[in-house]
Amino acid sequence: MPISAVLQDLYGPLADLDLEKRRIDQLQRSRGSDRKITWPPSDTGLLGVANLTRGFVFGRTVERPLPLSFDRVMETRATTSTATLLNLPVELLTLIVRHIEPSALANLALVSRDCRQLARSRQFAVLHLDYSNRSFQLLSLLCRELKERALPGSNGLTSLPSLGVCIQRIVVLTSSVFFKSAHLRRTSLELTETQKYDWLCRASEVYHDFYLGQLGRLLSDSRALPHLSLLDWQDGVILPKSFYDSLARSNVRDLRLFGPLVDGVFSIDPPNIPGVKGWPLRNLHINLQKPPGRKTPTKPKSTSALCASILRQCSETLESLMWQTASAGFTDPQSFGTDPSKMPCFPKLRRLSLAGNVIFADSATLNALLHAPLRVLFTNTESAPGANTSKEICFRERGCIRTLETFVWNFAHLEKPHSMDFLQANSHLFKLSLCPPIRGELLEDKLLPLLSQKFLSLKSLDLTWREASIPDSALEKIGTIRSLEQIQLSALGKPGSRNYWLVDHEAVREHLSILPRLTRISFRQDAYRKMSPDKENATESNHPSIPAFGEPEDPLRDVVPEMHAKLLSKPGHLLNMLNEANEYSEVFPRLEWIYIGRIQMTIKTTEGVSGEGQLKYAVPVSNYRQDCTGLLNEMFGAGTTELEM
Amino acid sequence: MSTEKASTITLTSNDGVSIEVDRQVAERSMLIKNMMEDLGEGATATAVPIPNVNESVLKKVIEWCEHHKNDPQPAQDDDSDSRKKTTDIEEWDQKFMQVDQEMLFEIILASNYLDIKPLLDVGCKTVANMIKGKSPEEIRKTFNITNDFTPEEEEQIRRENEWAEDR
Repeated sequence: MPISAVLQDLYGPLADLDLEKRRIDQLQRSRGSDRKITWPPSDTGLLGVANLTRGFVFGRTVERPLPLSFDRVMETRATTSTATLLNLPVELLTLIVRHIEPSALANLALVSRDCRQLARSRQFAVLHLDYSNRSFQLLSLLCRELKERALPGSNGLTSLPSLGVCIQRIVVLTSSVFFKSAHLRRTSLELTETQKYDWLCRASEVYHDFYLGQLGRLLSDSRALPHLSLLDWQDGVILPKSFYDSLARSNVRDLRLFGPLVDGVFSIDPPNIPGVKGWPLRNLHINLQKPPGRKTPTKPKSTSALCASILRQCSETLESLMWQTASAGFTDPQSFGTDPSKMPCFPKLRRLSLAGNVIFADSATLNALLHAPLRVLFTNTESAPGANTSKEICFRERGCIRTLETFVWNFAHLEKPHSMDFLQANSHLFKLSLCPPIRGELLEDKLLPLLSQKFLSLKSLDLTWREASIPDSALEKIGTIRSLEQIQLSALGKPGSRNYWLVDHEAVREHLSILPRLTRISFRQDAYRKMSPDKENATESNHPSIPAFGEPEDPLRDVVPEMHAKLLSKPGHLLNMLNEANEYSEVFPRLEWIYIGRIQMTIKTTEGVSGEGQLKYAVPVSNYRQDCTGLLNEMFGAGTTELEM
Repeated sequence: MSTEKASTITLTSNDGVSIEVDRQVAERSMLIKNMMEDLGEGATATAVPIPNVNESVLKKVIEWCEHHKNDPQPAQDDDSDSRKKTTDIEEWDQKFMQVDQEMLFEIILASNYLDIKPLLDVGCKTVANMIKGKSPEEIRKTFNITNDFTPEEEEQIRRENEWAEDR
């Protein structure tokens, strides 16, 4: 997160700040401020922690939703225009607006008041608050609109159509560039330590009292942003209780709290909105962090009260929960309390991800979540060091979750007795993904036989061998899991191979081609020996029945000449992978998709009468190596807990 | 196969004109297709009234269906696709849509009523293209829209346009 970078840049390593505590008192006295600044600055709290956690979601974006329909962005106003366009049924007008080029929206907005609302429904569907001048201006405008709505006799409407009504999603992610330019007039080099701290305090005041204050006001009054349904919070700052209370009163139904710091023990108040029960969130991603490294003895505050109060308020409506907790080295046990009569129920919870090793203070809390009608579960089943509860026992006692379809299992030890009990109890699974690399022996002796004998509906399997490669005997055992429709294979590779492994594709084809339903195959971290220079463009094929690209008898040359010519000009790796993929498509009659050598391909069939005349061939989705992490995760893992709207 | 007789149906426009159409052509309309499926073979014998569409528009729509009769049926859920980039319209359709604005909107309304998604799409894209590259004044003229802004409002919108995300 950028703020920490700014501060580090300005102030040096954060830890050094501790030494400056005395100066704050000084500073406070000198500024004659009655505002209490504590150290660590819990009420200023602009310290970011991003570098600890941000990496894996860096650059994610919030998708643009469909624009709201004309009648909704006009609220209760009727169009004043007699133009046919503006009097079309609203659903048709929405279709037209969707097709307007972004560059044309600005001019459309300048046509008339009605057209302006049409344009705004696209222009402001998503609002990125990045601390730019633009963000400040928009917040001010929205606050003015809210004031207008509150005027007596306004009926809760603004005098002219509003901008706030068009906003559906908000992303809060401060940009370091804007943060700096908003607060800094001189370069950091010219500032004394005290000046730097003074700067920090002022910046913090603006951020918290003004910027966050405005956003809080807008959120807490449901009239201000009536169609806001998603908030994606990505700033690593300390959020006060008042902000969470505002959030709970908002119209937000999909909440991603990614990285806010918690520096205090509190719970949210019930929102008490007339006609609304609790806080009807549908999707929740909690990832709270403790304030960054300090030398001071203050212990990081438990986030349990906050998390539990949020989850209680939304328990009846929550469909998807992704719960991650604090930074490493901070044990933060979570609890709903021990009173069994006050345990929340989660009757709609379908997806649960506890991948961030959430620690539970008691088994009742974990049980409350595990008794939801889960379809997708991503968790480990072992107790983390420092936890009081035995997670193993919870999972073992929970046993079969009848609704469960997908299980993504993260574990440390499979060797311990009973470690596979929970898996065994859920033999009705469709999709199984085992995250850590597993010892081949264990896979072959225990896991694969279990899957093949008991998991009769298993359609998707994702495994990684801890060894250098996957032996023939293991492939043979996978070939006995007849229900499989898709498989992802990987191995750690030889020491020093940076976890890349050499695949024996011949062996894979030989042993897996007996799987009658296989439609998708994915190899992760598969590596290939570099061709010697004279073979760089080699097109040899190991498979006798399929001539390689470019050879005279290559049938594709006549069937799809254009594509064939294009493919021939591709670099060696792509060509080799295409040849491999083509050999797969020959052996696996139902193959539709393959990810090989980091290239994603779909399998097409040439036109022609079914049977003899038809040819199958692989078409690369892109010509470059791609990691496809999101796609593979969606296909073989738990997918995203991001919303399904 | 006895393709001749059984494969035509008669549509009646709201101004009382009956038009005979190949069933395959008429079934580009999901409304008609579903109706035929519900009513069974007997339905081909009687004329199908199309109460919301007049003769000239109906003929135009049939002309489009005729040309596109062999297109694959669109997938039910292609929302995500059409949302992406699509102001390109194939050449024949572009020519087909060179009609006066009244007719254009009539075609859009008719294709919506008859549930002919690809035609509706082409119509909406055509309207969207009419906005593309035009100044506000030109857009007003094109669609006969009156400017109801105060100068201050216009100033505010220019600022707002700078803040917009989708641009």
